[in-house]
Amino acid sequence: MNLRAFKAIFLKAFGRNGNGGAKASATTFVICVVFIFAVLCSIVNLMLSGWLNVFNAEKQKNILLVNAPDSFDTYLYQVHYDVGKKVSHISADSAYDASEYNKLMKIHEAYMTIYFPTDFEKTIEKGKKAEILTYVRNDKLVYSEWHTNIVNNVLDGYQNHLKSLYGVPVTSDPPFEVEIESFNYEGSSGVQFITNYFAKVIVPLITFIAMLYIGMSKGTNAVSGQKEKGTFTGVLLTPVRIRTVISGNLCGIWLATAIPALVCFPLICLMYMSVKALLIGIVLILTLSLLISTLTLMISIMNDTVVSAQTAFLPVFFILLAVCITCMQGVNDVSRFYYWFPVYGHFYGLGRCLAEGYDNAIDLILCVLSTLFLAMLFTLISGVLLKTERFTTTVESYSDKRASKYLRALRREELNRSKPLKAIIYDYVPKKYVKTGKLLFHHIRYPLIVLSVYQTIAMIPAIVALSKTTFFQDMLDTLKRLSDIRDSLSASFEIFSKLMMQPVYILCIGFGYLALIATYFIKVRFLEKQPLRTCGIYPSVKKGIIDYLLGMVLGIAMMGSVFLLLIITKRAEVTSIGLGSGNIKLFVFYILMWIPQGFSEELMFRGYMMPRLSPRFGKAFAVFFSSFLFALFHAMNKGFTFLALINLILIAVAYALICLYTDSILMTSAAHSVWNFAQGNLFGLEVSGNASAASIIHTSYLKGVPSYWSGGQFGPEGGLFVTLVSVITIGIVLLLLLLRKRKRQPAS
Amino acid sequence: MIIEVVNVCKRYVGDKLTVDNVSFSVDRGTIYGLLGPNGAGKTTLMQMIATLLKPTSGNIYIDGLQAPRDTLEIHRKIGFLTTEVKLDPISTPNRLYDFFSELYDIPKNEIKERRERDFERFGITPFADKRIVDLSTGMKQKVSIAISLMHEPPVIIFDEPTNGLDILTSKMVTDYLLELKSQGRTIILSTHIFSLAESLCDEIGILVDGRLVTSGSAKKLTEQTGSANFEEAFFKIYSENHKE
Repeated sequence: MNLRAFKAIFLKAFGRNGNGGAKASATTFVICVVFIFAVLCSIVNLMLSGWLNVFNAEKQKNILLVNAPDSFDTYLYQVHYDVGKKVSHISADSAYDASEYNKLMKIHEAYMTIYFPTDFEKTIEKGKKAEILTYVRNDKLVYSEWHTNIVNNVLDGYQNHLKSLYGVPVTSDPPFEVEIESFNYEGSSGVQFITNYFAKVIVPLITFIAMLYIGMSKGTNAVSGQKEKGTFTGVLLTPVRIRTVISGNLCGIWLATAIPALVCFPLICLMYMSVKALLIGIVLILTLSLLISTLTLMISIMNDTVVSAQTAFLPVFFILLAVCITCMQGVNDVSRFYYWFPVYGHFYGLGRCLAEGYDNAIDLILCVLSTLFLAMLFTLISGVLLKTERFTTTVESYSDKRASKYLRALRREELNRSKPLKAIIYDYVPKKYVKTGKLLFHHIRYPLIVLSVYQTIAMIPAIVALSKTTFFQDMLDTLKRLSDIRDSLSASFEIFSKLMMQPVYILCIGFGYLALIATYFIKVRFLEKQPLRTCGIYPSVKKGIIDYLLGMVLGIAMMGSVFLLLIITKRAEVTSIGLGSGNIKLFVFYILMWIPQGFSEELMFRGYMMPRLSPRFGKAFAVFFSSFLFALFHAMNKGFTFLALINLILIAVAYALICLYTDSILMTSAAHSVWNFAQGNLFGLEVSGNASAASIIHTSYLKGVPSYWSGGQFGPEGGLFVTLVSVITIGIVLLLLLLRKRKRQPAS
Repeated sequence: MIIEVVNVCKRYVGDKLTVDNVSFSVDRGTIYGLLGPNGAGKTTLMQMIATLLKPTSGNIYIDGLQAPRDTLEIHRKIGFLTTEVKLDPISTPNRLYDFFSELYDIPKNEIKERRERDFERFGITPFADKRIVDLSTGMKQKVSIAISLMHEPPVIIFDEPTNGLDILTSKMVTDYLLELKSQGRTIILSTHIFSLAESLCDEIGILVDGRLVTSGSAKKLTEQTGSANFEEAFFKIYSENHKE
């Protein structure tokens, strides 16, 4: 090893000599702010519970009496009436079981215990000397004051009371002696809580933050900063080995990372008066800072600029943030094997050596070894990387690279523009080129966001309106019972099915769908600057009305045939007919809701998505992709099965083909609305997992009908009859499309 | 022969050879010039000679040494100058000189003396404690030369020596190159400036699309192609060999 070169590189990496200091990128800054905010929130959260404990400590005013004889009771209630109100009686054999008394005192909110031996009265009767034991909690000074008071007044008075009871002279020896034990109260309260909390949470956390920040700023400057400035090649051209370059930089970063913690930690150890904690803490700090510096050095070598290195450091930041927060929540109950891992072992270990004393050498050794192993791995990778020319020197400078990247993008754009548009639906011609992945992602994300936003907003007024009813109380009770994910799913289904019976909610989601339609219109008209024609709305009013009416007929025909099939094949029967008078309001609201509901879903999938996908991918893909997404959007509904998925895809394909045939979405939106209405409010069946609430005909499935016929909880859309009807519809529409194509071809 | 380049090829990505089977050798104490348009592969070739890049195939010998086995030894023998190698803008010439003299392992008692001598030679002394960022382009290039050549290497590799320099500094640099040559150093430089190549180089190799198409002195190349001057000769050679 070339020691001179090592020293020079080490000093350069360690000091700011000639280094510009960290130029933190905006992203890093934001992450830091979020990190600190999250940390503050957790601290406040933990402190709150802690402080509550501190204040509660004043309230532990009870006295726990163990095996107290009757004479003591009578004495207490006669003479010390005030004290007598605060006692709790128990009986126990063992006088010295500390952990047991700990629990008991916690339960009885006691600050002291008076223990009488079981044979106390017999001993005194025999004229022998008995012994009484008192415990006092030592976590607050005031407890020992109160305790002294009890011993001096109450127990002294009891001595005299016993003397008079057994008729012995007042001047004789006291019949019993009091042994006083100071009780080491376990648990989080008072001063102990704060010192414990400080050691286990604050100290490790601040150590982590300081090390991460310094490690990042030094590490990213060390190599990637030099690469950015173009000074790194100069170092590589000198007769210095790569390993000297790495070890010099590493030691510089390491020392810079460790020093603040190494200075502060002994001061903290002074507070805890522990030399052992100091030694173990230093070992932990050195290994942790080594790990962080090897990691930053490796990231630094991989990147060409400080900003890109810091951005690459972000995942590390995120992971350590997650680790710190999980550690903070579990500091009082740590599984042993956590001590063996890097980072976890360091966080818990720093707290452990201060608060409890780190007694287990094996834990420490394993932690150090696993950390050293990781650090060595990172260093080896750094070495390999530095020998690869991609990470050492670049013929292209940074600005050249950006320029060539931009040129490549331009070329790709031109190439794509020259490609013909595959198929056009509703006269939609895209105005600008969007990358394929981005285009698909947009069409998955956009409906998801819009739909969830409006459905959530629609729930708010409904819940506010219902907040004073029993429904709301029921809902809260349901939510309180939740224990796991499956529970919460079924609970949310339960709440939704109850909500669907509330006219207010139906009205609200109706407005939600209207808002959704408006959002799509605004997007098409003002953001894309396309006419509404491009989302399947035909400009002719007359044709529009005819289409809509035909769509209503189509919807009722399709649903009606499914219903008839269910009845004819004896899989369901009509139980009663007639709408209850109380349900009329709900029934009307349902009709009002289905109209925008059908229109909005058609607009999203058939009106907006389909024509925007087909120019790039062709009609077939556009139909299938939009249908598949349509089906997936219903996947969160109750009772969703694989058959339901297939059925929904088939229905969607049928609708999409109808849209292609009629060149608009009006017919299908009418069919969609009427389909849902007929299903839920005419025939009384479930609509995509939502049970019907107000229906004219009441239907029930006959017993023993398998769910692949009936569709189970999802409704007929999960059953085979819908499959049949939609396949027939698809066949008819395909035939119509083909006929039209054949008719047009000879003409052209 | 102090520099020998034998059948060297370099490929970055894909099938395209940036440097295509180049062979030449340079005599001790001469100046060899690589002449070619931008993108001909000059910089790549120079960086391979300086061991910064590895050839895809072929061998490069410097005074009989070959990378990667003798990389450190080669580094002691060469001085590499390029516009890509820059100086830390926050540092000062003094500090940088000291830093690199540690890396080049220059005897401690000589550092001060050498620094004063080199800085005096280039007129850097008044700026020795100024930050690099505050220096003019010419002064930066001078500092860069002083630092890159502080270990007095017998071989000097100079990529585009006068690129971006004003005429006075260019003159200073070319004069210095001739002075180095007179000290018996070997210099290999790349350029796209004919006059520089013509006036400085003992031998000129012409690189077109990564291939070394011909080499010889400026005079010889002019005569060979039957041109009136070297510039015309270069364009003749270029248009004969360049493929679209």
